[in-house]
Amino acid sequence: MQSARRLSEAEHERLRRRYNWHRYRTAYLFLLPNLILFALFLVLPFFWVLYLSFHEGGILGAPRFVGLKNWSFILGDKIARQTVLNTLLYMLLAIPSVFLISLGLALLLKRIVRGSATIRAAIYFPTLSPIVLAALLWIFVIHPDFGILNFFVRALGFAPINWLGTGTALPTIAMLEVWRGIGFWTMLFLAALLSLPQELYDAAMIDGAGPWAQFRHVTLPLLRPTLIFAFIMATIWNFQLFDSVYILTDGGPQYQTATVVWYIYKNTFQFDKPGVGAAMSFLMLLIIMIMSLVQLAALRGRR
Amino acid sequence: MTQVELVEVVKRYKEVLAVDHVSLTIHDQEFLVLLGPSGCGKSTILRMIAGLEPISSGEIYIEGQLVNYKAPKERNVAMVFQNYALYPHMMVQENIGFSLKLAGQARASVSDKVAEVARALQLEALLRRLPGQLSGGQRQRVALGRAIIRNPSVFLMDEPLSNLDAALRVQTRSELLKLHERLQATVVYVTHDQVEAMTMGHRIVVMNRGIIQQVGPPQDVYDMPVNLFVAGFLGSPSINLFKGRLERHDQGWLFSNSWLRLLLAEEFGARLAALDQDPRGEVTLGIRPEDLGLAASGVEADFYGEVHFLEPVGSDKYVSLRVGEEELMLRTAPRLTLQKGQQIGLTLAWSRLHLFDAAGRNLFADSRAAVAEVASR
Amino acid sequence: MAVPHPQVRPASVRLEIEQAERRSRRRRALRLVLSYALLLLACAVAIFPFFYILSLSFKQSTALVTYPPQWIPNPPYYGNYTTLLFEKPFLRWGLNTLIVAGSVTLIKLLIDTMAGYAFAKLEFPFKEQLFLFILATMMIPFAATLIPTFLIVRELKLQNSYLGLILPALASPIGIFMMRQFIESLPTDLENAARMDGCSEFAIYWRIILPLIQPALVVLGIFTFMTQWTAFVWPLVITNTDEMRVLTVGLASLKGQWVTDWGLVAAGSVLIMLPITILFIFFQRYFIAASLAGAIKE
Repeated sequence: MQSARRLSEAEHERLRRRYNWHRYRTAYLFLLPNLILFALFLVLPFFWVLYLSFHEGGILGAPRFVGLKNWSFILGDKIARQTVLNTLLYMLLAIPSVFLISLGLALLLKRIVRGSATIRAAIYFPTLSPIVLAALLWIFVIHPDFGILNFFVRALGFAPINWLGTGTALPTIAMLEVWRGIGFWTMLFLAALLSLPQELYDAAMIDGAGPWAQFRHVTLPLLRPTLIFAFIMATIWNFQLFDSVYILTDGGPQYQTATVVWYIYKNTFQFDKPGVGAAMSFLMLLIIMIMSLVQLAALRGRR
Repeated sequence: MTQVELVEVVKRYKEVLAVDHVSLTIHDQEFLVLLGPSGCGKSTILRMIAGLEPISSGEIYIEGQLVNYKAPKERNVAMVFQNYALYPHMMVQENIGFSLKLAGQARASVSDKVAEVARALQLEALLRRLPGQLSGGQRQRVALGRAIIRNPSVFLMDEPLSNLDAALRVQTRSELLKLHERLQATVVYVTHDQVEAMTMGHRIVVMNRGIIQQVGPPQDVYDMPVNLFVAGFLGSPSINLFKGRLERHDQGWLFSNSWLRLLLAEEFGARLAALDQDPRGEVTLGIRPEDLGLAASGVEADFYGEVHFLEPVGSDKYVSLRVGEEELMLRTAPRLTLQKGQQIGLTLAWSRLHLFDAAGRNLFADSRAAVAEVASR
Repeated sequence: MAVPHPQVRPASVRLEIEQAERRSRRRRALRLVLSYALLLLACAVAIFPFFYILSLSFKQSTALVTYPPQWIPNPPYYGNYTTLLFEKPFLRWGLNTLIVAGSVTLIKLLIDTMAGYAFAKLEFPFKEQLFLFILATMMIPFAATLIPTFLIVRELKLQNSYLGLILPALASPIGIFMMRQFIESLPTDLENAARMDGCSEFAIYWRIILPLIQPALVVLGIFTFMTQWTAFVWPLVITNTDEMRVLTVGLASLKGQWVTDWGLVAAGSVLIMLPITILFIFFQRYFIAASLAGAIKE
């Protein structure tokens, strides 16, 4: 014997809808502020940048439609190409250096116990500073006359180097960013190293592996996912290099330190060519989005 | 008077029916136990009554009101969670009084009521402690207090004793029952522990895979399980079951399989003959360990078995027997001496013998009485 | 033939064992010393420029170009600091940065925990799609949206204003992920118990969830605050008067195109790093956790 339901399907539908609406409303309200902000400052700009890239003007005057003029410009512009090359060259200099040094420091930090907190604090300190502050700081480090670096150069008997001169400017900026970044990456790698299971090292030691062998056969393979993740993250961040260039070299000498974001800034706010800036922005957006997707895929794959 | 009524309640997760057309009536001041293995849907039903889980289809009434589309706080039910779910950052007195504070009651009246409840549950000394500083048993009482103070129509309890150690569990069981009487409350109690169900429930609802198997007073369900599942679920050690064929000969009814030929007693045969359904064919025989006995000297055994190993538990002795290829469990007096490998003769308590048909249904179960509120599938 | 007793080794063997043990101990000690040496070198390289600038901040600009360099200026010159604090709008810059960073942090803490709670514990239609959407926005770097954001803020007539500084900075999805992950770890029965006790959804969020995620709040707070304290590009672009500048932009403005008062720059740098340093000393663990959490999206 079955009891029968007392309300019709239609009445149930009506009541259910009203009840669910009350439940969902709260959730949506909780999300609303963020969604509005994202729509306004992330989604809208995403499309607007593309729109702007087909126009000229817009900052000082009204925008005028020019079709693909800006795109053909940046594809042919020597300076635009230089900025991409510079950015890539900078990344090539900075990222491996900072990774090697940070990984080394992390390995060393893993071994010691006494004073570890203080040493960590000291190494991390530069990361706390705003990039502009670090850049201004480095002016004292690289100053031809009273800079720290040239102090050592002179002590070794060489003539003082103009660190921001031709050929040395970009590596100098790389040096600055590496110096500032080591704190962060060391902590990241240290955290990753500390999460590796000790048993594997014990097993390797029993098998007779010395520290170098342990590193090659235990540490490196286990760190691969972290390293991949870190590499792509570093790539995405470093691609947007701007602050130090703005402070130290303003793109010079002879556009040797001109980076993509710097060029966007220049075109938009100084040359009154926001269309060009927009085209470069959109290009950069695409490149970074692709890199992010690669990162996500690499992470998911590693699980 | 009906306190809670479930009508054709269904809970669907993607393609799976966690609760499959369950209909149930819970009476005022009843202590109803939902019993079943994990995943059988008992907790889901509880949460649907509470309003924590939306109902896919069907209706739930509390005190005559449809509550499908009412928020938990509008249903006048209180719940004691398996892990107590006490607010870790609030003191015991704040935990207990939280619902009253939310309802806007004056602070003086709230603390009076909290004191009252604390007295009843012997929590007075702990009122200013944090949950993290309490033992499991104390936390459980706080959870109870939190529910009691609301004076709800129905108490819902989700395996409240499962996190306590054995001794505390037994003690708390009787305390819960005393509380139930004193408060004259209606309780819906979920557990997977059949001992709890048997000792506590006015009625138990045995569930499996979202379907109610049987509803009734504990002893009735134990004595007359309506199918194989219920028979196997209640009783520890569990009922002995073996498959075979049931045939009728001139000498009477015969149950046989590869290792046993059992001629059924006459009175049992008479019951078989009186059935509406023809019982012949593939059947499963069931007999509980306490309904098997050692054949006394001079009495002819119904069948023979070899002692495999012994489990003395102090008050009884459980004997594992090998009969043919099967193993049987037998309960005997604790000080009976038996040897491993010994051949012994066994007798059956024929009135306590169960026969289940090929679909697992008890041939003798009165489908009207025992399965009154079961939705047939 | 006498067989040596197993417990008593001949003197020669004992000596060898002792020597081997001493050698390995020495090697290990050497390795440790080397590790410390390298680490201390790294510390020196990291910290030294800050000490250098500290000493420079107490020198007059004309006296900066000394060789050999004077490490502890004697007598110390306070002029840089007084000029910075009383003649330059440094205090105003500091106030602006505090207001912007503080507002962004507080608002983010509120809205990110709300959104994190919704994703972690509530059920609603399109939940997965919305989450993917937010995940997707993570891939949009700020620099790429600089121009349109500028135009939008100008459109809203918010250029060179606090709101203009604050609003775009609020559009960052990282906090939502952090909060969602943390809130997910809270037992669900906790909110269910609150629902049964009669809590509205907002009350659950406010009275139950927020108090229980305090460590995460500290981490997110520090992360957001530090991000805002050190932000440069956006404030540079959107403010154009000294009155509205933040510390980073103000400091950069001290570097003139031709002439720079380096003493002022040094003093400004010290003053900017001072509050950070103090906070860091007390909350070191949270700082490092914050930077790692911000990096790790999963």
